[in-house]
Amino acid sequence: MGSPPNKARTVLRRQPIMRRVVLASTPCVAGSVYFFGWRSLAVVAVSWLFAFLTEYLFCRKRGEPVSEAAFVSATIYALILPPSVPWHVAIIGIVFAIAFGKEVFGGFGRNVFNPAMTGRCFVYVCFPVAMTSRWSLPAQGPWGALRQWTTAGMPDAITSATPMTLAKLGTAAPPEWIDLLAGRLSGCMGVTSALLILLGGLYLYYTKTANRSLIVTHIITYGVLYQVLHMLGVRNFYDGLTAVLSAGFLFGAFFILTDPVSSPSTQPGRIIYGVMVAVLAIIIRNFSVFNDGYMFSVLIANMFVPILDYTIKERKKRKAAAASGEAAA
Amino acid sequence: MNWTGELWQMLVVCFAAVFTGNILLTTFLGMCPFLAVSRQVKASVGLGFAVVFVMTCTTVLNWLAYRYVLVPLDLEFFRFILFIIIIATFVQFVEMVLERYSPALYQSLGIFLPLITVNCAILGASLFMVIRGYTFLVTLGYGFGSGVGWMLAIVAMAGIRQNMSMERVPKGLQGPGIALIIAGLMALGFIGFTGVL
Repeated sequence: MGSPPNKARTVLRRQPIMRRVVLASTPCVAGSVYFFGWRSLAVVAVSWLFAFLTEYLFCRKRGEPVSEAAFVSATIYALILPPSVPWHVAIIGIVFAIAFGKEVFGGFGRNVFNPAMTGRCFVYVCFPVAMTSRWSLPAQGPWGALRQWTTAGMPDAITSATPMTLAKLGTAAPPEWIDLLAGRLSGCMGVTSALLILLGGLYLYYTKTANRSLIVTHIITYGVLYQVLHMLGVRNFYDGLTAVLSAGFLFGAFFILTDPVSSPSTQPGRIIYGVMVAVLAIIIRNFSVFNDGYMFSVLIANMFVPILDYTIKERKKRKAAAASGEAAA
Repeated sequence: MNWTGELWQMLVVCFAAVFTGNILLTTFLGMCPFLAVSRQVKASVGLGFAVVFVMTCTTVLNWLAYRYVLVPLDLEFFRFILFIIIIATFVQFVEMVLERYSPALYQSLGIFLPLITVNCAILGASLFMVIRGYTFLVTLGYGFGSGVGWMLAIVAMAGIRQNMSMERVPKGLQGPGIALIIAGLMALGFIGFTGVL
């Protein structure tokens, strides 16, 4: 990382890893179009445009090309927005994400917090009504919403409750796992279908684009903890499998958590990080006033990543020093 | 209230003070040492422990002073002055002990140890304790939890700042500017804990 600060000849910096992540997210984008209409694609495109413009403003000053990671952030950010998100909210979020989540730290490779999550949290806190009260239902029928701009325009198409809200209130039976796989549910536009997420996610897993041990520890911790709490009969906890398949958790595990910049760089650090985000997500999702805890838990865990890496490296150094001391003696 | 109930409440208040009501990240008290001493992890850990210790002891001392001196004398309005005096005396005491037994830590903390006296988080914790009407044990838990929450925040911040290369940060933001942005993003994450306890 850290290309020489000479004048940029190209506008974009080639980043094969980031291209693979964008490729892996295409099933989710396609799913969002199929379930919620072509407006979803437009939201992704607008996020791309504003991510590029924001990053370009900063990069031009430094004389560097725009990193392709900006498009990854924009895609992930767009896919976890509600399908009927107002345009200004989507734009403010992605501009904040790139400017304050990444560029003020010095651009790609320097950011402490996951940019997409920074933007998502920001709009979630600033525009709570737009972000939580209008959820359009997915289109029915074999053609889905392929002939529609948006599903939010249909009468009776707006609901205030996603499966996640209902789960918290305990008013609905848990969704069938087959529905969770297929994804014809209301929710954030790109992450309702576990199958589409897995399609892209396993590609990342197989090509080692995403760190494997991080994903595995994260999913296992989340599932097992949910199962234990479910069996203990705490509140309205789903069983482990339903919990893992629902509410975009897999998207978080494969796409959000594995951001190579904001996750730890040491192996023990990654395992602690995966466990930490899973535990925080369970706490915030089920006990706080917010429904969506995942983004907050990633942000909180991000702030402890540098100190985690530092502690592990220091310990390793000390151990090595002790070992060499013994060898010398 | 019975013993177990009070102990349970003490634990709850302690956890709430670390996470949901983190004194630094939700009320933004104690910002000056937070910005000034968070460049190196080692110094921040030292200051963090000092704050945990001082905060636990002073909230308890202030609770005793408030409950057994000010309330019987009807002098509650006097609490600001009395609390400050107690905190200042106590910090002076800690400083002398540190100088005697841990000169290295004393050196690395430098001016910031006496500055704990005017760390608003310390006085803030004592005043919150009065406003919320905590009992003795709960006050102990609250003081300790607030200190730990503050330490958690400053150590995380020091970890972030230690590895940052400032030359790539935009010119106007180098130094306190970027530190305040990081603090803001940390607070944004801690908003997520709202309502947990």
